[in-house]
Amino acid sequence: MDTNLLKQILPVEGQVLENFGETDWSLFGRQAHAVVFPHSEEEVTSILSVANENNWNCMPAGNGTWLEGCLNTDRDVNLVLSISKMNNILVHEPDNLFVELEAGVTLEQLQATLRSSKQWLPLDPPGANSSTMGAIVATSSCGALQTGFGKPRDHVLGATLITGDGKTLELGGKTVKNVAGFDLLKLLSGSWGRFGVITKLVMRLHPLPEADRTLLFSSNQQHPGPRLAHDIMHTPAMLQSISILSPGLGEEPESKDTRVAVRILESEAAVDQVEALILEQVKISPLKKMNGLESKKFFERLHNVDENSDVVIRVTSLPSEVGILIDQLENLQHLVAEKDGFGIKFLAHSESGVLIVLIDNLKRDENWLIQSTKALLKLRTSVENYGGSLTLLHAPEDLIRAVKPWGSLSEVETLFSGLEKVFDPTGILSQRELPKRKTEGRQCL
Amino acid sequence: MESLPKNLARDLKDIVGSNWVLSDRDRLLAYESDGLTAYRSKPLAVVLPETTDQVSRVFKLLSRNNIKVVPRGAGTGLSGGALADPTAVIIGTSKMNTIIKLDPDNRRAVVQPGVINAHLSEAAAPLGLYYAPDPASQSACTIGGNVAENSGGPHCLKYGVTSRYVTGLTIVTYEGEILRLGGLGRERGSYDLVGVFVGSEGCFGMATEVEVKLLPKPESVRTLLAIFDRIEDAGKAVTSIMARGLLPAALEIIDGATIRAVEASVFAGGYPVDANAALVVEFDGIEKGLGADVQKAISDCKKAGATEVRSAATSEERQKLWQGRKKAFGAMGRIATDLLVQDATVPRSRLPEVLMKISEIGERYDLNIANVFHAGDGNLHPNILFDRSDSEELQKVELASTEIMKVCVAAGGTITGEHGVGHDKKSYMPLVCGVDEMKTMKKVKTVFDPYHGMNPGKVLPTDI
Ligand SMILES: Cc1cc2nc3c(=O)[nH]c(=O)nc-3n(C[C@H](O)[C@H](O)[C@H](O)COP(=O)(O)OP(=O)(O)OC[C@H]3O[C@@H](n4cnc5c(N)ncnc54)[C@H](O)[C@@H]3O)c2cc1C
Ligand SMILES: Cc1cc2nc3c(=O)[nH]c(=O)nc-3n(C[C@H](O)[C@H](O)[C@H](O)COP(=O)(O)OP(=O)(O)OC[C@H]3O[C@@H](n4cnc5c(N)ncnc54)[C@H](O)[C@@H]3O)c2cc1C
Repeated sequence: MDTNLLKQILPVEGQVLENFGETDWSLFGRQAHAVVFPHSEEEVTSILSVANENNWNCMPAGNGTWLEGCLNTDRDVNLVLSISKMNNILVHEPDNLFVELEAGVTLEQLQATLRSSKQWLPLDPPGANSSTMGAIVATSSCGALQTGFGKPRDHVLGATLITGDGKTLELGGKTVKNVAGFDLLKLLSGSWGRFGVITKLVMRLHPLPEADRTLLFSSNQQHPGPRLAHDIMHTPAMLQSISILSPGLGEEPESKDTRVAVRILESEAAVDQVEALILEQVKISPLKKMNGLESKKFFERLHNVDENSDVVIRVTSLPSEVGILIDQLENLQHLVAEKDGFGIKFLAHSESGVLIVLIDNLKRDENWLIQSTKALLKLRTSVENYGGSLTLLHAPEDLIRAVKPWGSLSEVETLFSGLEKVFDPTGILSQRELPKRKTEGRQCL
Repeated sequence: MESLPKNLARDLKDIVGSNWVLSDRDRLLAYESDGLTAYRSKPLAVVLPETTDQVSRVFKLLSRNNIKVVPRGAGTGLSGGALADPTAVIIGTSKMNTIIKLDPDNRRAVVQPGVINAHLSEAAAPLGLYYAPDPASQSACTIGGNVAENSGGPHCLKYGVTSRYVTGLTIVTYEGEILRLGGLGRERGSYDLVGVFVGSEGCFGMATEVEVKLLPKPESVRTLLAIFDRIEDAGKAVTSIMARGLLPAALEIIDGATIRAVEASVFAGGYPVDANAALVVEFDGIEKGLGADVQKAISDCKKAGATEVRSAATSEERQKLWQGRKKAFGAMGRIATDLLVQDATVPRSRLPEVLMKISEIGERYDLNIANVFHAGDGNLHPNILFDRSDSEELQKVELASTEIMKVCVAAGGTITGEHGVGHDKKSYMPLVCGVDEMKTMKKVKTVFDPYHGMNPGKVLPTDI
């Protein structure tokens, strides 16, 4: 790969990186030939154009903290295209509750800017501090707040996307309501870089709530976690998040019980009343009550619990089935080497029907791969029988290959591959494969 | 006029029953326009299926015969979206009106597309739940139409528009294939097919089952009505309320012309007829938090120049305060034979300046323009009143309408916030979309509808 071609486009020192640490920018130990840091959309377009001419495989990136997430590929990545240097907040109009930014801005940087106007972006994805906004949207990463505020897709008003073949598309706008044309913007959330490089975003903002309170409940025989969460969900009020925490998750010292955390983001005047309604609903007292910064920090810690996990799985289901699925996690316990007390951990955003499962200490004996594959595929089948799904977000490469990040797409496969062809006709971004494609079924006009 | 070939009519009747294939001129009359009556065209026929399977069989038959299809809900659309040319067949959803499932445990419902929006909330009410998107037409429009248009409504300011609530879809493609997209708790692959289908205006496929999220009914509701001498002041009140961090459930402005039309009609709600604007402010949520919010909003309205602020104590009083907003279209129907409703949207702080420009445009073209709109979202609804039989006036309406859209786009807005592009605004798409964007939209449509048999000639300009 002739990196001089890149240096001609990116003249500033440090924009083309060829030698980097072994673990930096690595994809399961294999490294790209180069990582490039464009400073402008024009540079992104030129890079993609050279990549197309030379048939280089590219991967869009932000800060590169989660490049292996959901990755399943035989193809080497020639070039990682990181937009982390495109990190300016361009326009913030507090009156109109929107912000326009370059997609390399991190969520932390954004929240810090918004705070002075008493506004925020109500998203709390894992790894938030270092996550770039482009990556949060591309991976559709979100945490407990998705229950009350929705996923990244619900916050994006507009975006600039540079497609695989180098076209610059300006999608959406600056207003919450906008139905001028088909809603291509929605395709960016969950695109995992397959549709192009997101360079700019316009995000919808919310007023910062006056009060932030978390109630932490302990579960017991009469009130098992899922039951408790379910009861809380039926409190006659809008709750911003309800999470079930497995033993060993979250706090120091680690708790031995399953707990339920409810976050209330309200006006000062209403927060006590919402709390009273919850307590009336569940008829037990909370183990702990956290206010303000303590409440916020509690969730931040919770969202980074998978930092050292060998395997991270996202199971989704109807909220009412979360309890059954938690019970089924028992079938994964044998995959854990030397249980340090907790084995499989989980964090469930129960009202959204999302269950994040963590295996911190995966057994690596001679049968590990067969056993892990069998157990995960069995769990996937069972979850799918309940109408849900299992996504393998992060795992050793062999396991990802065997289990595949996503389950079968069944009848929508042709739509998926058709969309990939629209945004990346030459396939230079296609190293992040979604479930195996069938041969094209439909003929286009 | 073309007529439906006899053998095809027979085959269609075999699928849906002999009463549900309409092809005689009189019966087609009801289908010749939607809520935008300026455009009219009778379809080749109307077919009224009852199930997904029937839709699939009907589509297979029509696509094999190269006959294009236009889905239609209640026909309340305001962009000519359900308009069909004389070679196309309308597939109506009036018989697909069953609420298939109400699932309070998971706060969701699964409905057929012909279910009327308000009926869903009525059915969910005994469970303490409701369906949040509430177009002002909710007593007539269908969930299928809402999905196709990504409809909004007064309370979408706080709760968001249709796309926020649709979690799963069953769709039938032009070739008759039945596809299940998404589903609550069902995440196959990561691309948001439901998201891109919502707002596709019947051009991708037909939604035959819709899964939606329901919300718990708020504990309390407080409604205010502020009266202003100048519409710009009402716009300023909206900006101050939002800028101080309040999040009302609704913020709607009714201008003087609309107030007078409503007050002169059977729908009169007791608004002062000499007022030049009224602002409806509604808060909902936990009772304790509402009092303080209401006081802040009253103070913002007064500071912006409100001459009077009324507050509703009972549910009847609430209805009265909403009267001028909810009955505006009906009342205007009495004072003009035809009505063109624009729905361009601007960032809300630009409302005062844009409203002034709209009124200036109305004066210049000597047209009556009445404004009644979702102010909190910056979603304008200038209603241009006219007489279709006056061709000169019709031309002025088109020119004024184009100018209004240009003003809104120049203010950082867009040509349509909720009514969709349909037939009416497709030639204005280049105001907000580049050629590459429109070509990509067409390619995405082609992925869903490779033969371009779904709702032809809508949304994208013909030369794309
Ligand atoms: C400790 C930790 C735990 C995490 N746990 C989870 C988890 O459980 N679930 C989960 O979903 N995520 C998880 N993440 C990922 C996280 O939520 C964000 O996705 C992540 O932090 C991405 O930030 P980044 O800038 O480093 O992205 P990168 O690692 O650079 O990129 C992540 C993905 O997004 C794509 N991408 C990045 N930027 C763009 C762009 N501008 N345009 C198009 N595509 C782009 C990349 O191609 C890649 O596929 C975790 C992250 C950390 C640090
Ligand atoms: C008085 C009045 C007030 C209004 N207020 C609002 C408002 O506040 N907010 C708002 O957003 N709109 C409003 N509208 C516009 C209109 O009611 C909405 O666009 C509504 O969603 C249309 O629903 P419908 O069932 O009447 O659809 P139709 O008019 O029959 O069709 C609209 C479009 O949807 C397509 N379609 C219909 N059903 C399906 C299906 N099952 N699958 C695929 N495509 C389908 C049609 O092809 C067409 O393109 C108002 C209209 C009126 C007359």
